[in-house]
Amino acid sequence: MLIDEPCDGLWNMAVDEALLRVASGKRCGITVRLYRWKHRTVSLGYFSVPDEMFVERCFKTGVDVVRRISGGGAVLHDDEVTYSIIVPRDAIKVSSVLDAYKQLADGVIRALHRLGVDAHFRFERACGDELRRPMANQFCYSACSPVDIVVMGSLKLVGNAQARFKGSILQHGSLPLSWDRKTIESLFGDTASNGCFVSLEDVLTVRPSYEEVIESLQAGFEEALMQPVCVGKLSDEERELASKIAMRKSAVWRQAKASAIDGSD
Amino acid sequence: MRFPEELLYSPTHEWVKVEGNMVTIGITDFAQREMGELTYVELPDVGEYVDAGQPFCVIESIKASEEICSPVSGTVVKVNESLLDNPEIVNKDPYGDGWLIVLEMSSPDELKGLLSAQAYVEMLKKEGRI
Repeated sequence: MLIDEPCDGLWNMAVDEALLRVASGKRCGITVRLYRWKHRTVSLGYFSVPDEMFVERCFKTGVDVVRRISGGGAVLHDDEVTYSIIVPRDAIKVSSVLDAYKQLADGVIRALHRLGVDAHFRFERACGDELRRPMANQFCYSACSPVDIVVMGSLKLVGNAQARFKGSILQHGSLPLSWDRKTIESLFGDTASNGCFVSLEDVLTVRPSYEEVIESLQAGFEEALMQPVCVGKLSDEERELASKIAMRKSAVWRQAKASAIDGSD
Repeated sequence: MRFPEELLYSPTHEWVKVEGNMVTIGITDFAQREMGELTYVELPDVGEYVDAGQPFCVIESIKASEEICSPVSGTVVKVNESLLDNPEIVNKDPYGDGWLIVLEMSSPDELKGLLSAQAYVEMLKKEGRI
């Protein structure tokens, strides 16, 4: 398990991509990475195409924008713990994408139970139209997906997405401690804060501390994996590859930011 | 699940149809079932060179993106543009209308490293996937 200090979006995404690529060439164990964000950041899913005004709005209000290698829509990372679970090829047997989501996030569900939150996957108790609601405003949390972790009936607490490479799987998810709904509305529009999603603070009526959430996740994954979790560091190979990925992407990111803020190309 | 005899298969679940120096590439019935209904497909440009074992295409289903790797090296001569608007064709007809690209091979010897239908099925059985 890797428990990282808050970092910028570019580095956070580069580390996840490096972990997946290194895992794809090896027979090794499962890695769980828990991390936070130095600045408010919107991460876009691999295929999400935001309009220019949205990106401009983000940069002008001091919100960074990065792209994930996983699928799904745009996520605002603010007061939350983000997790990535990296599973090398053959480390677990899965029969479908849904099965993989369920198996990999079992530790998260167990952690939520430890925090006193009765949570489950949407697809386990819903069917038909209840399983999906399209994104009207690009904001991942205002849409429904079968792989959401939901509470109190159908309120979305955790969004999940995956990236797969040569049989290895990376599963992303974010667990919000609290939501700043004004920022969500200013970035994604008035309809984004539609009451269909909640934070831990909303569910528990008091905001848990980062430490509490991280401790619960650690215990939840130990229970799910049925073995003690060792907290470690990035290997040299993973760190080197993450640096290369971050360097390659930072040029593109700087140009997009300059263009959005100054109108320069 | 179908695994046509006349095709070759890679351990990462792509199929290859050989016609002279050209190969058509797609994903297997097993791969499309495992992914579920595709929502996006991103294809390479015609003229792009692809190395064996390297990704040439990205697909997405249920918020899961997957890089598809080329079983052989070569230059992309044709891409299946109908998938851009209708990615679900891959699910409906993975070995027919759901093909991804056509490559002109640069190293036909690489075909020797691929699996027959029988060997591919055996691999899936051994891994407990079917």
